[in-house]
Amino acid sequence: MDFSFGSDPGTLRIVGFVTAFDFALTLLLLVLVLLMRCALLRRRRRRTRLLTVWQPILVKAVENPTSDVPRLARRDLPEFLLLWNHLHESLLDESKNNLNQIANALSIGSSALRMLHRRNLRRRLVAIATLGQLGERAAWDELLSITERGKARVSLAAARALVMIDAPKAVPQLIPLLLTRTDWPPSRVAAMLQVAGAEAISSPIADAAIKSAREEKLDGKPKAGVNIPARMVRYLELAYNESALPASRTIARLSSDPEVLAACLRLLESAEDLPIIRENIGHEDWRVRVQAASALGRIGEDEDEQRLVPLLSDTEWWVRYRGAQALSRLPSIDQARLKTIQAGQADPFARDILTQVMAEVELR
Amino acid sequence: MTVVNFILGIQYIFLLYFLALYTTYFGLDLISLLVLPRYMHSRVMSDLPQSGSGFDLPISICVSAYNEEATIVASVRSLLQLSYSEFELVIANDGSKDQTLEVLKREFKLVHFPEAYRSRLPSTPLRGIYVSTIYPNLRVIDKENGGRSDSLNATINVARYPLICVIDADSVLQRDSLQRIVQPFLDDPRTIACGGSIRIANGCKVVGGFVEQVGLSTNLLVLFQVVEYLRAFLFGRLGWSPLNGLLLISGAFGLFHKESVISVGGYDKNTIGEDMDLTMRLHRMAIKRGTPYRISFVPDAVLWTEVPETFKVLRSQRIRWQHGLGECISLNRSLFFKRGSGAAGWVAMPFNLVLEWLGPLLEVGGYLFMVVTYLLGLLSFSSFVIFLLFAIGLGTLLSICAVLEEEFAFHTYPRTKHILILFGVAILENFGYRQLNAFWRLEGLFRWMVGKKPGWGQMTRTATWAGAPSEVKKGGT
Repeated sequence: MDFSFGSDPGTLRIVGFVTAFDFALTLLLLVLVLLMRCALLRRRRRRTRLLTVWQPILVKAVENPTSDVPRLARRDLPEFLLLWNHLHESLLDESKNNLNQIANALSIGSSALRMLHRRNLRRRLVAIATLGQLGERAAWDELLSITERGKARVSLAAARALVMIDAPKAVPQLIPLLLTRTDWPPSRVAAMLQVAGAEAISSPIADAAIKSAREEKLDGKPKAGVNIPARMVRYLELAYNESALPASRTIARLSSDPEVLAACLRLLESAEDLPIIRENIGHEDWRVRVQAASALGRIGEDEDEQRLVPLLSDTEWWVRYRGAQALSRLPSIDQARLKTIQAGQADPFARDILTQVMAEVELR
Repeated sequence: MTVVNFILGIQYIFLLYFLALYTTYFGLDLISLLVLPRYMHSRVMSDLPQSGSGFDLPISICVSAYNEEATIVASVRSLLQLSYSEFELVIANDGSKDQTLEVLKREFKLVHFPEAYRSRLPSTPLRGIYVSTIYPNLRVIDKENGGRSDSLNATINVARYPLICVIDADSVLQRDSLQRIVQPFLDDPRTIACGGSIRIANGCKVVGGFVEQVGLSTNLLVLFQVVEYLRAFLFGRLGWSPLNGLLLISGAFGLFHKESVISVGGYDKNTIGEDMDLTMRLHRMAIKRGTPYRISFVPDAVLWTEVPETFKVLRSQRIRWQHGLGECISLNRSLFFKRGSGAAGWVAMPFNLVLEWLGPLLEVGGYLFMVVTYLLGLLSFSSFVIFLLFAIGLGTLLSICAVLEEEFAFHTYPRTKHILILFGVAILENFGYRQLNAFWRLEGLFRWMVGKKPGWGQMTRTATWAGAPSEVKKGGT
């Protein structure tokens, strides 16, 4: 009995105390949840009121610019900014100016600048987006600083805001960051570059891509496990062909990295690129062979048939598939010719993939 | 040492179990309380309308269907309406004995397609592959019955895209769930798998394949499960995720890097807990290769599913889960304390072994111990009550924390009444339901120990929310 903590008065006192505390905490949490629910309902009611007043004004302003707007309560600002940004993101350029006119009448710019210093991540992100939509030049230095030092999500939001404020000025400052910010996800960078527009990014991104490929050739290993040159070449897809194509040709000759080479081949689309594509059709890395086959599917000539047929027996399914697709797209190839090629194949994989592609052609 | 002394001596085992269990749970709860606000704040930008950058990752949605003639059309239609820039839908008809394939053929104008099938993962023979002439992104595989894992392997074999999303055929995916669950893959290229939240559809109103109105069932058993699911997902998964210690991506809704899944051999058709086994093997593979990796969880990527409404079905589900847990731990024991395994091998695996798998033994043992010591006069009635209230209090507190997180972040349940009901259920579940669950789990544990495989039981789905006839009986595939 002596070592039974269940009968020890001291232990029982502690357990009893913890239990009482536990139930008190549970009650407290219940009150907290109910208070949160009340706050939520209040917020929803306020939001409904805000929408009732402001949604018609903003929607009307899209058609007819106006600065004659009611006063905006300070505590409604975050919700208003969400509504305003939401509408902004759904509009084309001309109508955006009308929304900005309303924001200027409400001095939203200075409020958003103040919100940039808030600890609340949500408010900071909304403030950054607002400053971008407004084209608020007074925020430039601060946004640039966030872009350089902030965590991935905030810094990319700031970069996007910068290109919205002044794309030609922002792009040269942002492109070098693309080479160092390995934490920036390519899909979000691409979205940001799209906002900047092909006009602003084409030349700088092409130069940066070539530079990164040269550096990779000298250094020989990727930064932090990220293949920056390959990423840069992918971004070239967003640039004008007149910049992207020469850059990808140069990089394709410079780089021996299969990932970079594959990314370059994705872009090539003129007859003058045929030699480099044909050169890589038998590359040891299947990712390169796939892209070479796809490229021949875009710009290949009849004489490429003999290069593509061996791909039908490739060890990689995707190479066989793209090879068969490319064959079906050659200028003078029709179903009858595909059937003849199929009949000449000893490899069942080659025959199967041709059957599939012929069925796809028929379905189209 | 007398018998009495022996009995009193083992009290420390129960005490240690109790302390370890609740310390871990509250630790996970604390982590999720820290993580959740930041996650919710960062979400604000993705809630704004955005156009695709063309760099989005295309997804193959893989679905296994067995005897789903009543619900499959509605499910496929809702999946085809998901808001995501590029995805394909691969359905495997796993040798259904009903008209599943025929209704699919009729509704989606399927035609036979001579696909050059790659058998990279094992599965039963295929009877044919069909494509829809209305929806180019819909393909249906007709195959011999081989079970859910087997047919998911078949869908992965024909999946074209780098990411595969595995979902249950009879569940309802929230329209924006793909957009949300893909975020970890976009943000961190090391991500190899990601799970979403499973919510309970019983009591909800589903229109056009989507949940239109969230509600709570009037069935108490379902309500207990609502609280359980909140606990499991909001602080179970969310707590393990930042530690990279997530050992389970639910088979009902998960997004995977296809090549990683193929490199570990896909789903194991001989395992009951195939989803947990796959997640554990993904950990092992990445650790073995020495490549940095992430297995994440996204709390607001939601799938709605129907849960058992009867004790019989629930019992067989819980026995199966416990059996599956034992199997997975045993099959993946090399993950324990493996060098470089981080939280997965050093914390999550021991946690799952001692506190989750052996847990029911200690839990049921603990209840018996209290009764025996009370009957032997070693524990006074007041002590007995205090300890019981202590256990109930902590259990309730954990459930309430989950309700708090739900209310803080998602406000899924629209009415204040719902919150009060969940509160009541969080308290009530401690009086019988938890104990019953512990007994079922104990049964699962013993069945695993004696090597007796549990059956799938017969899940009776009302499925009224999916526009189906009033009751659909469905055995596991």
